[in-house]
Amino acid sequence: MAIDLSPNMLQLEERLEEWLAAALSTRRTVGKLVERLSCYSEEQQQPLLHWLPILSRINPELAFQATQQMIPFLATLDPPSLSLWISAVIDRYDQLGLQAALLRLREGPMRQKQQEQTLLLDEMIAMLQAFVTALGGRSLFVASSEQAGGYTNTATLFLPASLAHLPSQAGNRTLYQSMAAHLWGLARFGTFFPQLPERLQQYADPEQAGRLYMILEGSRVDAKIAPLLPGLARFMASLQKKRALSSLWQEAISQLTQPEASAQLTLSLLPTLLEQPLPEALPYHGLPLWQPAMTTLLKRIAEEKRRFRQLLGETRDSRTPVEMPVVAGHSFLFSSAEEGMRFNMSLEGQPLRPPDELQLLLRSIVQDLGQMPPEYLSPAGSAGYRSDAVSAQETTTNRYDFAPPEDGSLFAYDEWDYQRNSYRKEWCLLSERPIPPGEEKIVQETLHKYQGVWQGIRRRFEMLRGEDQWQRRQLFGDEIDMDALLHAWSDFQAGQEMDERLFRHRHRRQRNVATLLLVDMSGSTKGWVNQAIRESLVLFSHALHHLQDRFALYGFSSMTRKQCHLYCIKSFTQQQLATLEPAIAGVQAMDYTRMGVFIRHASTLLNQQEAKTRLLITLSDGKPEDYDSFLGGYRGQYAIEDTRTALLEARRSGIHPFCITIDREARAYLPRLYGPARYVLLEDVRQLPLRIADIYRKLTSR
Amino acid sequence: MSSDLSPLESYRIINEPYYEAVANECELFSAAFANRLPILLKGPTGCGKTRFVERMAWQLGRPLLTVSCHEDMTTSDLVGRFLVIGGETVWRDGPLTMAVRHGAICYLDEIVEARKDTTVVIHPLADDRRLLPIEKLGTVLRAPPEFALVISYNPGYQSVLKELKQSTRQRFVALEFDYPKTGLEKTIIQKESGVSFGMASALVQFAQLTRNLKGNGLEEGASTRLLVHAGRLIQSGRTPSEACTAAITHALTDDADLIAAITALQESVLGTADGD
Repeated sequence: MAIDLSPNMLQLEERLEEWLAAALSTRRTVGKLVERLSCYSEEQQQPLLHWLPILSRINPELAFQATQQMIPFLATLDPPSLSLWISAVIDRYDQLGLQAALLRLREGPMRQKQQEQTLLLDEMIAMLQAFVTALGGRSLFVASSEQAGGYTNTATLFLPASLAHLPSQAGNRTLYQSMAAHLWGLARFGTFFPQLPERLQQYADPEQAGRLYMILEGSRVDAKIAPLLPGLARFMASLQKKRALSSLWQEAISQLTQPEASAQLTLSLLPTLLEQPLPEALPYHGLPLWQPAMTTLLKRIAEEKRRFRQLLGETRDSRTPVEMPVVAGHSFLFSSAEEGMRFNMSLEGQPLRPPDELQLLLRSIVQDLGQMPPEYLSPAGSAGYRSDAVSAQETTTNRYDFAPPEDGSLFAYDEWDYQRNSYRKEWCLLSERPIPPGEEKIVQETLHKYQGVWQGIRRRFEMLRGEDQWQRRQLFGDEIDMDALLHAWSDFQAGQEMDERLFRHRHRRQRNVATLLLVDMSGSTKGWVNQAIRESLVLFSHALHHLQDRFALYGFSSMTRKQCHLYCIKSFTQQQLATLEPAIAGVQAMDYTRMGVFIRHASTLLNQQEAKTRLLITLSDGKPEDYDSFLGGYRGQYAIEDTRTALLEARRSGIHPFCITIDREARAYLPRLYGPARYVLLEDVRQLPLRIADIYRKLTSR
Repeated sequence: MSSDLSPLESYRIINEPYYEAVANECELFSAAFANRLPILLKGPTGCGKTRFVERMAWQLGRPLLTVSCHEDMTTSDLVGRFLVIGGETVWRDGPLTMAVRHGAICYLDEIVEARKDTTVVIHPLADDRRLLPIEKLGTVLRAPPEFALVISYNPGYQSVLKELKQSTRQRFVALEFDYPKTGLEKTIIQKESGVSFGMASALVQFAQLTRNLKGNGLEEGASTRLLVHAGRLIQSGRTPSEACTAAITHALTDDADLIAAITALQESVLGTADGD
């Protein structure tokens, strides 16, 4: 079929074909899309043309579907709302994959506030999260519900994306709170327990029995919440009053609202009410779903049991001197202190303070099981005592699709996507690990090589060291300033006014600087550059040691977003200069340079330091770049924008970022990349060791 | 050594300060005092450390000199300095010297706020020597048995700089404080502010919820002191909602989301402003 295409449309068709190529087939062509698009003005097409290349790099199918879904909205929806919608779709794709993203796509743009009273979860979510945290118990997340109402899986509270049930915004706000509190109550007061599915299977219609169970549990849990949150309970009661109940139901609910009622009582009430029609659902109760909770619950119980016993083992081992034979009599005892689910713990009659992690685990376990089962109390561990081989193995199995560091920790960081103009949530996984030590005797070599200049550097640094100064002629101070006193006295004798500033004050010029030096360990540093970096580290650490400034040295290298490795050469707490040699010698050229995530983590580390000035110095040899197969990878503008954003974040948090680079081609991108930071470009890598100490001196002196 | 108390008469606590013992802290304090051991009070802000010291000073019949430590505090601020008065230099004792000279209790509040080189002056006082060298006078004061040194600090600040040096802390008998248990806290609020027991219970319940937010946005939950403040505002006719917002919620944080959440908690416990 030949359509008469204007030049504009031809161009449009070409572009669509290019972007959507991977999602097209003989039956699926761009012809239809172009035809539909042609009804809109160029200006109206703009948002689609903006998002399409971005989407197509994420997933061509998503891009195709999105085009179809977006077209009808091009005329009616303003570009910001459109962007909000597509951003939400992409977020969903990042978190849950294509199917979830397509679902979100079909839901259409963010529910517009049709009515005055509508409240969006997005506006409330931060507040509700803190609200739920404050209620205590196991920490729960708040998220938007995929279903038609709220429910919980005992790890997350899923709340509807918007509420307009009540005639006022304030009412709907309280309704959100009630729903959060109610779902929290379900997870907190034992509605979900491991045997629940089999108990419900006993009925002819387990589905119906489950629904009934949840509705009854709703009333029981409300009664448990009421004394904790009397204000909210009054609101809930006002909604309950509107519900008509048969006398059988009223009877059941009055039993369930007794203080000692438990989930077992609810189960025992099921047979009598099974034939009865269900009452109207309360608006804050959410959906009568118990199935989502069970999977999470069983998985968590198994995991927590293992972790708990492992921790007990560690606690025991740390208390038992190694030489002492481990007697089979190690018995932990736990007792719950009266308030807030805190636990006391004793080992062989000796009271212990449970570590925080254990305390949280205990809370969570007791919440799931109602008590501490005796088999939990046998610690797993290395001592061979009742150590369960399976559990020991399980603890080391990978939870991630890559090897977690053996003696480090994992952190997830967001990454900035300039095209979406938003962050990719928890996109990068960073592991902090000690650097594999090297053998070379680099310190002596370097100090010898730079012997001449080193003396000068050292002297200049020593001059910077903070020393006490006497401030003269002060109003207040530690001692009397005799000169000032003499002057004042003679003035006084001469009949003049006496100067009041007669004291001298010892003023400490303390240097209060914490510096983190982040060095590039990417593959491109191999050879000369790596050598220069190592020498710089030696001079830098020696210079700062003389100055007695706090500093830390880290090296970084990445291989895709899931393997960002930060190597600790020297942490802030490590004081010994002598032990640094193998670590500095261990700095080698490795993989790639995903700068953003490392800057973010370094900022976190720096911000933990109490210092007046926090300085983050990055040392790299080129543009940020990483090996990633997704949407064009971490390179080019994407990488530059992410790094730039990370530097901006650092600056906003009160850090002074400073970048040193040795890339000769850097002039082109440096101003954009390091815009938020100050930077210096070294033309010749051999200057680096000499310059770095000087740069630092200039940065930190007045 | 003079035990003339007249210059410190105004530092004497006349009326019994209200204090509810949480555990055996009063007995421990008395025992430490009798044995001339210095005392370290640990605990979160507003849990009653200062009140406890006042109470013990009253019970033991000693004047109490309180110094709130700060970063710019120098040794002179504690020990004393020369002043110029009418053309002559005059020595003026600092609070620590005064307490030593006259056998009083010297309470250094939030000791970690002071710089470490300042706090070392208390070292010879805090071991069995019980001496206070006054460098500028060239003398050494020996503390009388009635002198006691009490310091406090809040281990909750998780900053490295705000930790107490081992050489300092290992001289003291340490008493740990926390917010009083629920029942006791209600009684304290009721007695201190005069609100009804029901209102005191609601305030405590609200405070406990905010304490769950510690480490999740808040550095500390609502302290007993804040509850007393709220209670007093309620007693002078403010609505519970007004009182809690002013005395607790806004005192705890500036973060908008957290304020919203704490307000929601407050309404969940105390009801909304219009008393729904």
